[in-house]
Amino acid sequence: MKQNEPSVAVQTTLPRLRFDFDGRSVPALPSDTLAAALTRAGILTLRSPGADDPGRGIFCGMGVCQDCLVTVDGVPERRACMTDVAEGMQVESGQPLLRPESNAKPASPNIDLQEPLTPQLLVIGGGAAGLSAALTAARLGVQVTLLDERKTLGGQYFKQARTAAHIPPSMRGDKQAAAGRALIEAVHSAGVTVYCDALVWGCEDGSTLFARVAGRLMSFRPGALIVAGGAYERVVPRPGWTLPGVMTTGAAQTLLRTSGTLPGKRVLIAGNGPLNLQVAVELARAGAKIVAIVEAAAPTLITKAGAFLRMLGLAPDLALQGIRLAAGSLTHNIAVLSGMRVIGISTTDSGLSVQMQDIRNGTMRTSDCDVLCLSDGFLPNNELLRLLGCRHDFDALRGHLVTVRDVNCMTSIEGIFAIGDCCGLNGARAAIHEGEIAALAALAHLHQKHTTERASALDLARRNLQKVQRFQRALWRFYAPVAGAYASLQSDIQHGDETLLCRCERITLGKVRAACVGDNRDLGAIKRATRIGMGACQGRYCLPAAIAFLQANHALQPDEFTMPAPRMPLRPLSCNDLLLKPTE
Amino acid sequence: MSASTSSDFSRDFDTIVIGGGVTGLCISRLLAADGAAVACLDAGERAGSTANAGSLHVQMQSRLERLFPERVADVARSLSWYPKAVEEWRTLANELGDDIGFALTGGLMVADNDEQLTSLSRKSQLERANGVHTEIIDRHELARIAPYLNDTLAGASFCPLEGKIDPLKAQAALTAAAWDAGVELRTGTKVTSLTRERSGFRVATGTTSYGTKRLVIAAGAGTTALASMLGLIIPIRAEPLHMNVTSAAEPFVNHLVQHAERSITLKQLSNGRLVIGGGWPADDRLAPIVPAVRISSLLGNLALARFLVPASASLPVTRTWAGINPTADLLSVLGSIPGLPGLYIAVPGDAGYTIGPYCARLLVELMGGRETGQDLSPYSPLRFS
Repeated sequence: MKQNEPSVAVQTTLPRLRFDFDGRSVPALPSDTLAAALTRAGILTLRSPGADDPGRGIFCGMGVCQDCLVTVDGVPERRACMTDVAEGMQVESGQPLLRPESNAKPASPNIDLQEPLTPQLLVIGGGAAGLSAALTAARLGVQVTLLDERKTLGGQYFKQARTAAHIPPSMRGDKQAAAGRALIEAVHSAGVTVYCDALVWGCEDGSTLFARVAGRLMSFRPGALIVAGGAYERVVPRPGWTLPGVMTTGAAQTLLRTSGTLPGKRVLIAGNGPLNLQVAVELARAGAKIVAIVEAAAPTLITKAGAFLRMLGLAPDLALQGIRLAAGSLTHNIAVLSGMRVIGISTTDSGLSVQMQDIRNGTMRTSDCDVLCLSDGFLPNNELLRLLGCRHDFDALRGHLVTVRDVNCMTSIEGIFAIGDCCGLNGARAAIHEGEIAALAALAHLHQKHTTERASALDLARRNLQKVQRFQRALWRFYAPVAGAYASLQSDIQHGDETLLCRCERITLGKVRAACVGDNRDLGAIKRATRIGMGACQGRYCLPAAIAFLQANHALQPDEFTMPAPRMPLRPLSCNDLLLKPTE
Repeated sequence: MSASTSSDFSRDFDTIVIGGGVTGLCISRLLAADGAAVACLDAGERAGSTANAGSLHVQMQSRLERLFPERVADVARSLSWYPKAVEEWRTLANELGDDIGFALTGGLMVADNDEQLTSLSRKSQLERANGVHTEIIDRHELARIAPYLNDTLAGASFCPLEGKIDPLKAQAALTAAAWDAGVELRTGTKVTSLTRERSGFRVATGTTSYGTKRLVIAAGAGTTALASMLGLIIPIRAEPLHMNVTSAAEPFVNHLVQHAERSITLKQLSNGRLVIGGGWPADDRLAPIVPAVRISSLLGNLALARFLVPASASLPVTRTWAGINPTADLLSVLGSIPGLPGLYIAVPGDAGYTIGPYCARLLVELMGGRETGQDLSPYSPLRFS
């Protein structure tokens, strides 16, 4: 088992409880996630997917990738990143084959489904977009229910510390977290009914949603629905990207911001976009050594100056925040290697060896680190919207499906709205304005009379949104990568056939290439032939990569139906998980 | 294997098989092995063998008695095909070389109470009279051979010839074998018209048309529309059915498990995953592309699985889906059409995945003018007109 030096950003509180991991006693703070406590103890390897695999650890840190699955008190496949520790908990590393537990009393062969709850407005997702929508609607007198998969509201942008003891000294007074805290408090005081630990896993007839709420089955048939599922990080498959110690940049930020835990001592951050710079500075301030930031965007500032000036004009505070981050990176002596990408990762005696390449001239370079953070952009969590039957278009530029919406953020289905980053990344500010727009439009859908006051609020929100969208476009021009996100898969040169494309089912690029017999390029057929995308994460990482590969090498022209349909349950859930009623 | 190119225009074949599921692939492969120039066309819809749950059924499905009591006598007479069909799968598993997850573990149809067990006894007598060996076992014997089952069950009907296939592996291996035998496989190729010609048929697929001496329609629920292009009435309904699959577990369920009165099939594939299905309905109203899963079927099917195999409830369900079960009058539709020489129909009857390869064998023998050893008249495609 791979272990790291214990890394603790929180020095203030002594561990107050203990649990067992594979027989080893591990200290933890109350309300730690298993992921945080194990990382703090230097335990990186949490699961073995097979004898020939070096193991898996925390990867996405947000419940998407299903790579940190462990057995908790005999219950298999619990996500370490989403499970809280408890005193005396027995945790075992995940194994390739589960041990079925037979403690069940003979249950009834029948089910007795309860009538769904019928809130006027249901908002799914308690990040920036969902909080804004819930607050706007509740303040106008609508009866709102808000669901979030995590135990704390705030989402990925407003990441909230689990408890005050989890806030690292370097993060005290952080404005981003404070803004989130204020928004969450406002949502509570506006009378929104909030269910945390609420995983929406299915729907029926496009109108009834099924969720596992704190371990119980609940269903909802709302008057109007706003989906604000957020985004997850795009990580391009590379040799070694499944190794323990390789995680998304967002996962490292979650460990720090929610649990006061550094992912490791020496951290290399690579990929594309502003999040990498922000998290590098945050980790450095908390005491990590940032080996470097490897950035796929071009190095020359001249070409970027125009984009930056535009950003400065549209949102001076955000542009200045960027300058402060750049200054922070200088203060902490963080090297930014622009125009480069990580092309291979391997383990060494002391951690990871990371191979990098200049995208244009091919120059190679190698660095050592404990943890490699990867973020190559973002992909939308739109599977619920797709399951509901909302229309989508394939956005060739961004390489993912985009929910079709009107100016009110309403989808192709009357009464279902989609807002924020689950519709394509536009950032927290756009998400907040979209929340306002969708809430006001949902009011009209709920047959509430439109007042001039609301009409002008809608107008203002739309104008604000346009301004933020212009800022985002400039930001992404600033961060335009030298080559497309999946260029390394498309050129066929950088990656050997042994690169794992599908993390869950461990399917290599070579196997996918071999399945492209003749001019076969149907992703569904390749999925069935290779099992790519058939694992626990439902293809969230490999399928966009496979589409890019097929586009480049087999003339695939992706459309709305290229991506295999999402399957219920949207996250793996056992029958025990699915069927426990509120009264049991 | 995708849509054909213009260079194929007006290419002629000895035989064209429409339908690239288990039946069509087996027919194509056998014909090509005899030296014929064979093309196998499939519209590439997402239903078909690739959505199957992979059970090898031999004993009579309990739902037949429940739902179609008037059909029981006819179905019972066709029971003798099922042991032969399992042998056909065994041959295929050997010939294909790849591991297709073929395993004859025996199948259990379990009863909750003595009343159900009595009706299983009646069914067993009928089965034995028609050449299928099943035996009734009591609760003690059941607990001994299947300790993973709920220990309150009253007993079961045991059929040693039942088992399973991994349908994804089987489809891939059959496709490869057909390819190796020289079959021209064209998926994503929807047939738009069929016409009779002087010495055979013309098959049009939008941009291309092919001439063929012989034409086999083995297109499951798609058969109805294709046959009507030639003026035939062959009513095959598309019945959307629900299925679940779990994460991989250590081997603990060795049989194919069914129930005397309720709809379920449950088995553990060679990769460790439990596949739970057995005829719970899915929806074809709402989804234009694939049949949509019904929550009541998802939860109901799993609750029944938990009742029968309590430990199954601890395994995460990674995916549910709906497949299409083509169904006519529960009997296979198999044979030639007097008056339309060179045209053949092959749609296997109940438990079509099990008997698909055997139906393919019978049809190819019929096409070659060989003795099938079976009276095929009850299965005539003309029985619906």
